[in-house]
Amino acid sequence: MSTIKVNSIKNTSTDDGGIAIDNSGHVQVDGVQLPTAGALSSRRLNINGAMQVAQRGTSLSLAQTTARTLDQFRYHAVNLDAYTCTVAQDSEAPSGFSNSFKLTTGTAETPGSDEILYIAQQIEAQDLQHLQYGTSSAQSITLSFWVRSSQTGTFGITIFQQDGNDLINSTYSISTADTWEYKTITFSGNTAAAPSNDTGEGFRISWILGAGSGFLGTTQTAWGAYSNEAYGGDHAQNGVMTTASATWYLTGVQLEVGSKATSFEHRSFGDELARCQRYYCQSSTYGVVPTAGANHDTAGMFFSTVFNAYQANAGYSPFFTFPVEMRTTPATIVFYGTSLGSTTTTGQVSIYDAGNSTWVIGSVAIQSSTSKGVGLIPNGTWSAGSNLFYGAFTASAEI
Amino acid sequence: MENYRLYRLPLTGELSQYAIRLSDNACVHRELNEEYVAWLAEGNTPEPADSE
Repeated sequence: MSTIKVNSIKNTSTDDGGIAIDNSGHVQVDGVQLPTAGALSSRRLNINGAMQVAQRGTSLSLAQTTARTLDQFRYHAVNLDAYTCTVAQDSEAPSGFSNSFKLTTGTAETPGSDEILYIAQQIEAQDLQHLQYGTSSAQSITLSFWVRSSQTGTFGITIFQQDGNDLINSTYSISTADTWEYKTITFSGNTAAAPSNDTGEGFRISWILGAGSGFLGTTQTAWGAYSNEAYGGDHAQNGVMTTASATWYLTGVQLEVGSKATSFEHRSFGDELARCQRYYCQSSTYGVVPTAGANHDTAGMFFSTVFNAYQANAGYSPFFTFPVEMRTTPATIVFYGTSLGSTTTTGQVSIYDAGNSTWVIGSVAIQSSTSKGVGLIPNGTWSAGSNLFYGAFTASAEI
Repeated sequence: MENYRLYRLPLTGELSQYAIRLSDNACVHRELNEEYVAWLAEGNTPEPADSE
């Protein structure tokens, strides 16, 4: 067999396009990088990388408590004392994208030694089995993303693997303030430990925004044991956290197998929403966040159903099916009632007492729940028989 | 300090797999909710079900 060794192949009449082969033998066709490993499609391992889905709302005020933000992106605040910010789904985005994750600092804080602030996405362990971790065939992975910030400098990025308690870190640099920059980082495979083949946390990808000395100082560009010092690693720019009104944007996040970043794999909104609903869902229409005490006619917010009140103060609802099967039985379910009955607190529903022709407030508990749905137990005082209730719920089975 | 209350299923009297988080009346799974599990591990005890 003969081998042709060239660096590129082009049409004789143009320098545009063609095939380019780099020094590692990796190929670009017409300027588009081909994968170095894995399949040609369904390459993106992470969900909501283009920040299309924000079920909890498009602007969230956050403080010193860890919280969920845009779907699949978690705000981690460890031991913070005063910091506040707003996280929004923003229309500012690089070419080819419509949305981004935007964090704007409100009250700034200089991180103490035991403090760290980061944004993370967790990937389910069973979805990482093809990486062959824990074997000598462990695959390299590449993370690519678009980032923009009012603060320039070196930012830390870490992948934590819970099974094995291992961690690998790196950095990226923002060179120009308030300008979108594209970053790619390749991480070696972990030959020592594998994510379990289950629904638990496989990877936690963390974008470090601020870290105190106790979370800094250990460079770990090969997989090694977790330590606080390696979590922040060589992160150096705390300006997003220490500067009021500082901004940090992220979009186009793609984690894929192989040592080269390929083009971002765009997915339909419906596809991304269904993937997100595996971890969090709500009974209301997308874009309508359940609110206790809202008008019952608020479009898309509430469902109504007849339930069987087997006695004057207890009954069972139908079993409500979630839009997709969730990762696990939900860890948290919250119910919301309407203005009918004048409820204003969560954990209640509005109940029509058919026997007395009046609206009352019922509290709600759970009869049973699985990854497929939930059955409720309304509690209140009403006439026995078939009554009606209005309500909404959110269910969380986040990693 | 967060607090929780247990409850029993009305027909069977069995303890529910969920507890009520009193700050917002959310239903939290007694084995799967990380915050509840951590709260228990700190030595806290939920309020008993109303019938107890």
